[in-house]
Amino acid sequence: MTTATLSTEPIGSIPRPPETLRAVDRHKYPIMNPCSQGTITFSKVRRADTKDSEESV
Amino acid sequence: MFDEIDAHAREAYPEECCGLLIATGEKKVVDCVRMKNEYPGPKQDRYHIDPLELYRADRAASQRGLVVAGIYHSHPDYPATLSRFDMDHAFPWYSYFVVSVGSGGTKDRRSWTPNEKRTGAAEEPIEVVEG
Repeated sequence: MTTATLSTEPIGSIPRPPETLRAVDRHKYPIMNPCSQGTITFSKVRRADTKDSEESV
Repeated sequence: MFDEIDAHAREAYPEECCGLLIATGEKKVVDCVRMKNEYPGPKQDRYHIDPLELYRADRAASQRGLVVAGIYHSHPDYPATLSRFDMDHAFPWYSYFVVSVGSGGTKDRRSWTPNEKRTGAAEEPIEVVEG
């Protein structure tokens, strides 16, 4: 007969939320890596109008 | 785009306004989305964005093939620099666009990218392009 024993050892380390977010977003937004400092560009024309028209369809 | 952010800053004055910069992958901001300042205390020098609202806006941007490139907020009667509080709560992958606003309107606009350790931020040049 086999006896199961509950281990008190942690199954795995759970990253703190900020680190998890950082890892995810680094993957998602590679251009936002602070190593690649650049210019932020603003379009004079908002694309919101396009969005609104899409939503109204 | 600036007009929309400026209008938001003026409407919120003397409290801080906040919102998101929606951009293409080349960090070209093509839209901005207003967020509610959820800070529970006095909002004259603090802002807080509900993480769930940020998540929803991020999803909406993704569905449009865009990304949340940064966060804008206003500094009523204060320079367009990042405060210590801003730095402590900043994410290094976002651009932080700060609008200095007074009773007479917008005074200055600057954009910053915090470093990994949140010990400082680099000012990034702002360009405005047609289309």
